[in-house]
Amino acid sequence: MKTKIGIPRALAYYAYYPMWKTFFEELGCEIVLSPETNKEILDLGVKEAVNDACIPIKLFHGHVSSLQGKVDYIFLPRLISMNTERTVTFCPKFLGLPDMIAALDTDLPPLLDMRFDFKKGKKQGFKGFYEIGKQLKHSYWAIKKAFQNALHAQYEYEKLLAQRVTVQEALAYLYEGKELSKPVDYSLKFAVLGYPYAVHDRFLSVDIINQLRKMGVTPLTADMVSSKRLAAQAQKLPKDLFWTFSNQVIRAALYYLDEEKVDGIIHVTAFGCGPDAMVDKLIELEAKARGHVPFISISVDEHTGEAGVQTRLEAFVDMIKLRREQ
Amino acid sequence: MYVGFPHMGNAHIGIRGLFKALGILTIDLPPVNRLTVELGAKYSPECSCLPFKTVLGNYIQALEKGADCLIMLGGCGPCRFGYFGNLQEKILRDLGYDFKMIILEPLDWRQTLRQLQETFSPVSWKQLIYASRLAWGKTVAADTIESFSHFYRARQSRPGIITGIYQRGLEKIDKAYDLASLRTIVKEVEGEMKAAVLPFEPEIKIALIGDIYTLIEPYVNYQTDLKLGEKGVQVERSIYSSRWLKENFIPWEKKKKRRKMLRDAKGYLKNMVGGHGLDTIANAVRYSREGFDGIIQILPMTCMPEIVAESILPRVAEDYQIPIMSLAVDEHSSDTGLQTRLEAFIDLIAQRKKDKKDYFLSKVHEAS
Repeated sequence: MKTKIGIPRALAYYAYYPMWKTFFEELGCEIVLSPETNKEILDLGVKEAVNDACIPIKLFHGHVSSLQGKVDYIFLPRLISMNTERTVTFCPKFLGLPDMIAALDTDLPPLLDMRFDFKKGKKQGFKGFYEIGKQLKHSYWAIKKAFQNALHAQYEYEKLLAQRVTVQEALAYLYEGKELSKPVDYSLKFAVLGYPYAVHDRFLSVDIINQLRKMGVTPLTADMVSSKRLAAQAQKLPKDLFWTFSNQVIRAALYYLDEEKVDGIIHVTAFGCGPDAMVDKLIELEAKARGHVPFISISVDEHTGEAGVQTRLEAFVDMIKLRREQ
Repeated sequence: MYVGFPHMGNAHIGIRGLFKALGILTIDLPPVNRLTVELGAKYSPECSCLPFKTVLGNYIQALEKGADCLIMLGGCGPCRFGYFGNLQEKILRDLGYDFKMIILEPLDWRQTLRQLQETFSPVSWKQLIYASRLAWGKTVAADTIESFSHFYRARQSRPGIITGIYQRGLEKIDKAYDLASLRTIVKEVEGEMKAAVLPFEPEIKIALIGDIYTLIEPYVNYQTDLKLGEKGVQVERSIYSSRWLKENFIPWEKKKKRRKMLRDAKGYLKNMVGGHGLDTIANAVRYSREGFDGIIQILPMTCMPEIVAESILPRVAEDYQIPIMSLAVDEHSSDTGLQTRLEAFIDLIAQRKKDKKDYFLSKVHEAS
């Protein structure tokens, strides 16, 4: 019988799932994903997590609890660093995520606390993979091979995203066999910025991507900019931010402002998010400095309703259309 | 050139001493007050933490008073503190202020030194060494008498007497100009405090842990240490600014501290999470082992490292059977709300101790 590994469909899932899936499947494990975020998972998460935590962390707790009893192991990524930039790491909550889950009262299956640290390159990054592979009783060479394939899968996934495919579409194409729909180019182009787990979680962001499409707007997200182009934007800031996803968002904002000339910027932020308090203000000030590109910040939390967000989006789109006509 | 700097507890005594000895003019701000927090909260992002808002408020106050140079510490994350200066500069410029911002970056110290040299007129090595020794002496003296006040306040003969001695001591330290007089001031203050206490042991000992700013700045934590002390509780605080300076600017001290923290927090938190998240867990474990009766964690709302710690603390509490309370503060917190929670916490600890004692006595009776 195959070992069942449970992967919570939350947080870094949206950015690194192909890497994780390939690694574990190469090692002969079976992947069990938690269901897409829904009301029950949210309620579970709110109950389990500490009060002051932000909503994505609460959702992660919910996803972990929903896997209880269905799997042999629960996979918990400890993301330290995914590139070689010196001062860039992840939000403290990502660094302590496995410890936060381990401190819960509930009976959980054994946890796979996997360390992702690529600060000093691939060799160091492999250590985390090797430890987990060893825990699952596999040989060095099998782990090495799975690691190489995992990195390759991640590379292919990011290449796909850079072709302006949204995360949800790309994952459906890769793992559910769905065709890629031909993107329609509307005349209005918006940058929809935010962390992958805030923008692409259809429950949390009340499916903002498709709502915008229905209104005749082409949404462009932060993961659609290739990492090379993002890196070129870095010197425009006085100092890099300390968080990988935040750097991605702020650099994408600068890219869309300067190179792509979008018609508006929508920042999707989860309520109580620490890094976003800084990022939101930075984007606002940068947009203001470049001749008042319209900017709206949509904060989502456990009480967000679809109608509320829709009204705000419609008003924003109407405002920009009106501005164009004048 | 007038230099403005943010306040944090008694740290301003040392900073002001340093600038004064170097012949640099500074803007003297009143202690952090309601106006500071309101000004800061008005122009800060909504979800930024209270330290960010308070520091921004301090800068606005300083600029209004005529400062044209602001000084801030940098950092390298992942706590938001390292980016405070950069974002605050942007916000203040957006508000229309004109000033020079100096951010002391630990990773980029060459650039920092050049900036300092350009801004201030040259000082001799002798002057610099004298000034830093004096500033360091003042910081240590202020922290020492503060820790004395925590110890003696629980034993004081009448309410408020220790606080009075402590405040007078701070004023004297602020005015002192050489190291010898600082030593005598500390001795005098200790003598005065010893004379003002009654010879009994406080029943309850509580440790304060958490984020450095909310622990050190009395306005932000609504003087938790004083409130507890006046109720006859002996308080120990996990961090002082002098200790923080020592552990961050001397490389071997930093290494030693990191090893110690990771060792203490073993089994609860495996790596650094920025800010004082790891310290909070390690200190909670250490204080539990040292036999404290309760622990209070004070954290700013939305503080990322402290939230990680907060979610792990319940397990420490269970393993060591010690009550731990987390207090999140922001600009909407209220003095009375806090007072009530502290009183309830003290009552709970007192009841626990009494229950334990009764249980023990009943066992003794049974045995005899």
